[in-house]
Amino acid sequence: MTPWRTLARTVLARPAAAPVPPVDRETASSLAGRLEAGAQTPLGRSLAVLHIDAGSCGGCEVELRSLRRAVYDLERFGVCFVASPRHADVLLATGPVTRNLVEALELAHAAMPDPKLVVALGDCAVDGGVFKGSYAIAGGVGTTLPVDLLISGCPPAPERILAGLRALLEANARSRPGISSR
Amino acid sequence: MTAFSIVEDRPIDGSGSQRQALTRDDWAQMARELSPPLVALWGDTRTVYALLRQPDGVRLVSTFVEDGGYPALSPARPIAAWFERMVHDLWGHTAVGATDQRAWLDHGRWGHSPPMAMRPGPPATAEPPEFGIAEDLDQILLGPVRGGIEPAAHLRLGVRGGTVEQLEAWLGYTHRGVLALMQGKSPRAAARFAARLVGETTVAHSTAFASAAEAALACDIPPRALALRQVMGGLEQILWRLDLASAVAEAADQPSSLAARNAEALRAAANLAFGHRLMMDCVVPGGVAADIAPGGVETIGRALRQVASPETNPDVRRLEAAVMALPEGEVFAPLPVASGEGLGHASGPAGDIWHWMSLDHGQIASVFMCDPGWVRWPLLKARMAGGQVDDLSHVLATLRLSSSGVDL
Repeated sequence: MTPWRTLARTVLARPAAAPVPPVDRETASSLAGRLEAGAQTPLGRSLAVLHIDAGSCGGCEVELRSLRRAVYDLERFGVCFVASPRHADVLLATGPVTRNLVEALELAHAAMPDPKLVVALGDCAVDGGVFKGSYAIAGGVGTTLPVDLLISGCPPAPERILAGLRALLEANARSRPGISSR
Repeated sequence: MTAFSIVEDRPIDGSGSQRQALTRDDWAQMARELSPPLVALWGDTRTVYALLRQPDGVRLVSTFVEDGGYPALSPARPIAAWFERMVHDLWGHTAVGATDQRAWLDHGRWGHSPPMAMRPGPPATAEPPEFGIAEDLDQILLGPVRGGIEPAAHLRLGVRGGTVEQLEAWLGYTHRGVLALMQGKSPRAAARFAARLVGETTVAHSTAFASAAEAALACDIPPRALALRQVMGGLEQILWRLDLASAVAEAADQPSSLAARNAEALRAAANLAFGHRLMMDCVVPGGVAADIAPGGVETIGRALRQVASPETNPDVRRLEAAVMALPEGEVFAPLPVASGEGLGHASGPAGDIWHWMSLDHGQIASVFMCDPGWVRWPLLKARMAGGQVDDLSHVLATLRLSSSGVDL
């Protein structure tokens, strides 16, 4: 291949990251209201997320990892994953909340600074999903913590998770005067 | 990496699927000698089962539990220890002479214990087990909440300086009680639990489960269903490796955009062809849930050619050939409502998967699902021994351990 063709291909190539649709206004508005009422510390246009596996099969994690990688590139929206609840704005839990994990979930939530946003990701986290009725589960994140955002799906597709997290970002930016939303 | 192998559709049959009931003495004799390697050990209310590897396949043996116990296999086969702790926590059977009798799945948080025993008692005590970390070592405690996007597990490292001298894992945090949920259901209804034992290998687990049901009922499935299972299994295999490549690259802070884009292309193609990005619930007892969508063959072929050149990559070539040569016909044959017992196998991306079930008039009387996690988790200890603490994230990325597969 000639150098010119290589150069032209490089210049004209589209980025790997997929284009994204606008944020869901309805979800953003309802979250904005809740945040305005509850948020004590404004966060700005970024969110630090602590992921907790509360009995997930790993399916939701497959899509969460996809979301972080080149195609969806979550960090371009200001969303990053952190290792400690002390640094987290958002607790994002997957799985039906097993009884064996309830205490760890509560402790992590207690260790987070305000506003302690909680996202239940996937059908199991929403209400226990197919595991409803088991002796070993509490039955959804809502049984243990106050949930701000439910993202259903088994597992939810990356676009769906992204839409939810972006609505959370948008709501958060709106709740803070002086920072304009896109 | 191992050579590509298409997911097997049938259990290893012949002598393999015939369970051999042993007397307590014969079992004890086997426990002392146990020359064939142990694949899995599980129980039900009155019996314990052991799956042994043989040169020509596997052998399933069982023995009745007497006085609440059975002779332990762990003195001869250390791999049996986690299984024995699981059998104790779920059914209450004690492995007599076991090397390790600490709690495993039962963290003392359930309403009754053991949950699957004939007559469960009050909950166990909620004490974590004693970890055998030597006193002169510093301890590092990790998890169950470990940050990142990691499965829940507790790791305890005994370190001197930066060197890991001991490592112990305590699992059970993701125990959802799947075996109890499957009991009393038809294989078709219970298949969704098999599909959700380990999300990343959902096709392989669903295939092993379906094969066990089909073996129990001595049913054959249509050739087109068989071929579609092989295509889905092959896709899952490639996806698993792409995700492994991504995970290892990320652990080294060098994310691979190529692996991520290829995985995304394959998941999108799977979604178009089979209706689900992970192909969850697509393989069911009796065949597959639905035929490949119109245009699905071309979609998958295109995505495969994007991922690798079929001319140079034999795995992709084989899979592409399988997609292009799908036999015509039905994709599902309803299973009869009958009784029987069967073993199912699939070569999953992470290793061999074995499912076993016993059916009573079409309902599951007893079931077990053996994930390769049972043999992969102990590798963590082996790989970290004498290594540096800083190696942990890289070792975890290369092993890609699943908690839910062994937590049940």
